[in-house]
Amino acid sequence: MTKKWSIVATALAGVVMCGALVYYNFIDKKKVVEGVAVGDTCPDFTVDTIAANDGVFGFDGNEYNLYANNGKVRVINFWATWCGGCKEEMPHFNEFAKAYPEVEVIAICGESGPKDVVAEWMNTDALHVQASGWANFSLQFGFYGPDDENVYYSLGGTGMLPMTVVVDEDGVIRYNKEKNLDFEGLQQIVLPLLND
Amino acid sequence: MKKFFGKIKDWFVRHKPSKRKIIQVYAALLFNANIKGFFNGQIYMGATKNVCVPGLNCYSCPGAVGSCPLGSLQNALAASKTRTPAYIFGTLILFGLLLGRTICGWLCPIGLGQELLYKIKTPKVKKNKVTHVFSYLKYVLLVVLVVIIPLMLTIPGFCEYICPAGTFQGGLGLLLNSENWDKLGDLGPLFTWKFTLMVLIIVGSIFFFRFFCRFLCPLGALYGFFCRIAMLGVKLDKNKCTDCGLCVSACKMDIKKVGDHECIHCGACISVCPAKAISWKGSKLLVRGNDADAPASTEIKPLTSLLKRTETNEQTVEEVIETSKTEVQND
Repeated sequence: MTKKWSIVATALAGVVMCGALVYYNFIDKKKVVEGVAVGDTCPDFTVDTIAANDGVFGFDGNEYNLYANNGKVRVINFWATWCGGCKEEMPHFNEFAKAYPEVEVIAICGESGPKDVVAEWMNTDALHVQASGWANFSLQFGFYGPDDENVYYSLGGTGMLPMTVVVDEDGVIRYNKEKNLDFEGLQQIVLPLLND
Repeated sequence: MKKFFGKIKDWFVRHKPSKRKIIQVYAALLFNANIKGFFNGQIYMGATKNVCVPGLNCYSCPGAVGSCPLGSLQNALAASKTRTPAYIFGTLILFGLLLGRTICGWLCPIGLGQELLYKIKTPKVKKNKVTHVFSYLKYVLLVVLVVIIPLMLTIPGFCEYICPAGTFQGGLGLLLNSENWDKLGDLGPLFTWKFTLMVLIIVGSIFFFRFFCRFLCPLGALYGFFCRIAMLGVKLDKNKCTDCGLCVSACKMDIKKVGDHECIHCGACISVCPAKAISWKGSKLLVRGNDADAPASTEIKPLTSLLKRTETNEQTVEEVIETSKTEVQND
């Protein structure tokens, strides 16, 4: 390469690097979501629900709305088909929902693909969740797609899964973490709210 | 005083980084330009995360501004029941055709890390028949952990069970930040396994040149398939080659010949070759014909020299162009 070209290439590389460093660190700031800290009122959301009919999952045409269920303690779990940690903790949420029927437990999955992906996946995925399969879960399943509001972000998700949000009877967030939970963990968080 | 500064100057002259090293460091920094992620302990989730970087660079590294092609491939295959993994196939083929394993030698941050570890002054294990056999292990990992397990079990097998880049960049990168210390309790046997493996690979890289690349990296194995058709890289001129074998013995990778599937196109063999038979592929695109110092100058005959020959041989210009065309074709 001639000297002229190597100077041009070096200058171009320098500009690209400076541009990238400035853009990623100072310009492209993450959108700050308001009202998602513990103690804040949880923003309302609506998701489609997935229900099993004779052991086959599909969209039942129903929706789950957070504010419509005010007056109950709600456990909102976020998961994804590719998230191993989510699938590990799912049976704990199922047990919890069975043991405390007064608590609403909903497991919401976000998917960037077409709408039927999750239901179809739940019908075919036999590996991860107990031998009994997904259809025997007495959990409510919610779903939002690429064109819906991204509930995960609007409740303060930063990019990690699983995430669980616990909302009390008055719609106030009492727990909000991107962290695995088990049955005992859920008890520790939710039971004090029931005794209030 | 003068002597002291002279010594410092000497040190810098002796330790002047090669062009390749500068490009490697540049690529590592560019792929992980989201420096603020290391301070706030969060993964960058912006628009460029939809694009793969060419080298192995964990998606979950707090600094990463793009996706890892190997991780994307596994996740796309895992989700292939419902979506055709066309995007990642296209990306990998594009990288393969343009650069091939030149990516390993020049752009991969994990490759750079291993080369720096190899600089630690210890006795080194040179390549031999055993390492050559083990160099095929990465193809097994490619088939089993990157293709079969994601397809059958919908798990990104290599990411989940092996990848030291994930443990180092994603795992430790996030866990070093106190914001994420509440997740320490979530670490299980899988993390213990992957951490142990990462330490073994780091120790291995001190004694073996590019331990992970040579024996374990499925991305390198994948790019290796493009060795014959990639546009950039080193190539051997068979007409000039005297089969002396200096290039292969000087190379620290498990190559059988220059530019094969194990070659990472670092270019170390170019200066070793006494017959000057090794040059850069694609240099026609980058190097001008009359560049005296470039190895490619032998390929495209400078017009001036041809014209000089015309004067002596009394050829017409048309004849000269005809001969130069056939010469280039023969090359």
